[in-house]
Amino acid sequence: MTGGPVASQEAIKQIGTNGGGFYNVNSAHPFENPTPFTNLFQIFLLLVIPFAMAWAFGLIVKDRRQGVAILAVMALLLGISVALLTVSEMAGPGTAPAAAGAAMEGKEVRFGEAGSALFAAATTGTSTGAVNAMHDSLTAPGGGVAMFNMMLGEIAPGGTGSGLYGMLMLAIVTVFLCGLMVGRTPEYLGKKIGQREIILVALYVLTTPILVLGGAAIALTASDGLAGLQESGPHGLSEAVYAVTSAANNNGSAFGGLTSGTPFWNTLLGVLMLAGRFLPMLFVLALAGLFARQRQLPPSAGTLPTHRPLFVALLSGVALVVVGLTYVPVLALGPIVESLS
Amino acid sequence: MTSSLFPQLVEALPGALRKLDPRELLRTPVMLVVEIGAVATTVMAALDPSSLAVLVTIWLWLTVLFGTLAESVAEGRGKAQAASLRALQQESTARRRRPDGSLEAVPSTALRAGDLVVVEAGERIPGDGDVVEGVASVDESAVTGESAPVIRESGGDRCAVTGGTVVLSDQIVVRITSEPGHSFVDRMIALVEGSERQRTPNELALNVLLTSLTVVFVVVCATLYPIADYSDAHQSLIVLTALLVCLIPTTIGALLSAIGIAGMDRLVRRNVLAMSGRAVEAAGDVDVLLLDKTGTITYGNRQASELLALDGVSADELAEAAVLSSLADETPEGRSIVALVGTERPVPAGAQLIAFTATTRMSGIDVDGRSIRKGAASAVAAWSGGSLPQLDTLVEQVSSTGGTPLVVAEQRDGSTRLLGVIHLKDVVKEGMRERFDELRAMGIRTVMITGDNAVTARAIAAEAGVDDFLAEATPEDKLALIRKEQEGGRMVAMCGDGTNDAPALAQADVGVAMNTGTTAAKEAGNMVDLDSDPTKLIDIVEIGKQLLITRGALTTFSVANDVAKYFAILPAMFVVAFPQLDSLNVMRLSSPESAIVSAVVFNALIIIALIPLALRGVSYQPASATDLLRRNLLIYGLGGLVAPFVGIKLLDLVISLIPGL
Repeated sequence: MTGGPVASQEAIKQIGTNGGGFYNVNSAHPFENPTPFTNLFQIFLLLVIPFAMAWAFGLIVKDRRQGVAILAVMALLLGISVALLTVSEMAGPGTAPAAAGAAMEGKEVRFGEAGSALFAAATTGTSTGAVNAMHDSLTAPGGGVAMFNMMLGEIAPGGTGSGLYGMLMLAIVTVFLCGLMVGRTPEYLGKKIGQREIILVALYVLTTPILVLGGAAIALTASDGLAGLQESGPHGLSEAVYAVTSAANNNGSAFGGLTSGTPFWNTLLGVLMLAGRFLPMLFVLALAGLFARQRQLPPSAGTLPTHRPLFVALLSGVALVVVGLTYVPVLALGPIVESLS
Repeated sequence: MTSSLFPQLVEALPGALRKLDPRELLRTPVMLVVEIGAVATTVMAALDPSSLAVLVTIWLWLTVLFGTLAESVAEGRGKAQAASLRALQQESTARRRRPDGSLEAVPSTALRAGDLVVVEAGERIPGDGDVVEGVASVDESAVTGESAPVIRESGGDRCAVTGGTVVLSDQIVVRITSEPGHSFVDRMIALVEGSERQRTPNELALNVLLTSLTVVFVVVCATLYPIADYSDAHQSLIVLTALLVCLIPTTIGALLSAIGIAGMDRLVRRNVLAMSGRAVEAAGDVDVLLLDKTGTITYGNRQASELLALDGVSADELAEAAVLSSLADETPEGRSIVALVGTERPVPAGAQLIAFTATTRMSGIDVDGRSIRKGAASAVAAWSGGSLPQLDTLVEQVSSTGGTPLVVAEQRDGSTRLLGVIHLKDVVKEGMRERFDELRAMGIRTVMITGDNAVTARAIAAEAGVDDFLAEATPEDKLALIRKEQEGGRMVAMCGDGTNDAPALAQADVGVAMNTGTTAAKEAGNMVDLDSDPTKLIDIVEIGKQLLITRGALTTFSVANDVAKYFAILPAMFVVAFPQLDSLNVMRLSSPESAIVSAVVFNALIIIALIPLALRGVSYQPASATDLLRRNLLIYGLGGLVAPFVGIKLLDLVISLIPGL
């Protein structure tokens, strides 16, 4: 067996939310991730910078409470997805798991269902994409949660940096939608959200759904796309949708049943990765420029507070409803149908 | 309002039908998408008729129509007012003064700015202008709704007259200040009709967000077609269009412009004319309110509040002397002294009244060999030939609280006796303290502007409960204060009427000019209050906030509705291919077709149901942002989640009775 500088690669892979493993099976390989402890440590590494970004944000804007609020939303959403994934994997619906006594197909015995579920939630909640189990073998609801994590835009807690800006864009959408209800022109951290600002936010919000859904539609129509699917029916759909979601959100994990090593899939996923990474960045930077030029308004009792639990709940709600709803139809035909059968 | 809505809807129908023109709908892309969807389903229903296709088509058209109807109803409310204003514009003949002083008759429409016209009692003033000669009483009821005539005179702050108003007495010479078609009444007509309506910054921004949500859902529905085909769950274009229309934010899209028009209309109903919608929106954002003390915070004249007797003088004695000395005093101060003591009585026979003069600075009465005087401490001291330490203390005490001390003394048989001090003070209007508390809760600081000295200003400010004050304020100070606040990123509202207020009015984010004010003031401000009531500034801020809250509440409601619609439509679409999806049919809707039609009908009816709310605005209670958010979220966020579940279920119970569904 080939050896090499595995350990140093692991640090880079996880702490940079990069996800590319030394071995093909990534963190499922005993040389990459030998024990339950290293498993937890890897999860810690891939989460540490994205969560730290929220804290850093609080320091940068000189109001730690703002950072804590963002951190709380990230933690809340990640907590929900870990819980759902763990429950799904432990319950292990389906014939094979029922016969085997547990949904252990595609998982490593040394991590078990819980260790695998936690890893899956963390790797899709960030833009890491490293895996310690085969996501294609996750249970239907579990795979759905992993997919949904990415669809939210990888904001809980997201990639290094990209998670923070993704969450902040949603915070701006939240302030804009709900902030009007306090009777003032919406403002976030003393910066007014006017027409020019909201155009950039709108473009940001539009990019990923167009890439994911457009990509899925092409993949599921073209014969070259369909040729890559291992399964037919809902699970085949899940494989294709997982692939385009993972590419457009720069995750990198996959439902391994899909044969993506073909010119069609390579081109499609390559384009999605490129556009899905750089277009949103462009809009974020342009928006940052607009905000930087604005004078910062002092807060008053009339301004919408963005550090309270109410805002944390609102932002989580907006993420789930405004972003999540976009993907409900396609999820319904994939993981949801699978889960209900 | 709901009871009277139906006739309004009928009346607005022709206008609503005209607005179905796609070019008109370009302004609201959400509704344009619905119309395109309606055209598409019409074609499909014609090619392949079915109950589902026909019903969806009808209700999609109704959805668009309800949207244009909302706008049309909102506009209709200004029409009646515009008609009565137009009556003012009937052409009349004006007498223009030539440079040589002779008069010529010209049609009022031919008058240009700078022309001088002579207007006599009984005549209509031919155009906006300033009185340059004479004084007259003018009936401005047609513009202001106030029936009492007002005095207009040359010079000073009461020289502005409005075209179309009627001179009741005397003769004045007016210098016309407006060009034909650009008069105050012209602007009013354009405003109330909404024809000049410019969409406001926030409305435009919200429109962008709604458009982007629409694009997202167009992508969702368009890609669902091939994806469903892959899943062997082919969807007809009718069903996908129905899904699309249910998901895009039609509720807020349909009501958005009605909310804006109605907001302006609410101001007009309170006799405030906003020269732009931008100003109304800005009113909601105001952080600092500059209020003039006199007439706004206080009644504007000093009133006796207490009598302070010197040692050895009984309270009754002082009271009696105070009343006697004030019987002939017709100034508000004098009357307030009589009112304070509460003994109204005739002037004693043979009494000689001594009127106040600027040299003596005292007034009083001479009766039965007794002279009583009241006046400024120094004047009375000079008259009585002395003072007492206790008196000085009392005078100092009154002055230090911002009041004005009036010393009362009497002279009998050659000997003079000091009696005591009347405390005159500026009386703060009732309820002002509570209003300022409300404003503070809303995050708005109030600054009192006064020409008084700092001591007086501080005392009144403390009593009224304002946050800050500007004493001995000159117009320049006011302007400087506004600039300073704005540099700190705060938005400032103020009102004013004099020409010297004009720079500050122009600088303020919200400048409300009093209608009694000068033309310069009215042109500098971005609102005019026809009632000339400075307190209204507070109402204006509340209307601005209410406008934004209504928009936000309906947007939240609209977006939250989508959750229930998914639960209605998605199982209906795919239950044939995947029977297990029936477990998502939590409303237990009777059939897929009925579920889809119910969702579409709900989506249309909710627009009609919310028109009254859009026109009236959501109820607004001054409160902190956190409280407002919590309350409105509960009503419109949670309501928006729950209402469609109930509504769609109820509609399904009815619609499922239609054959073929």
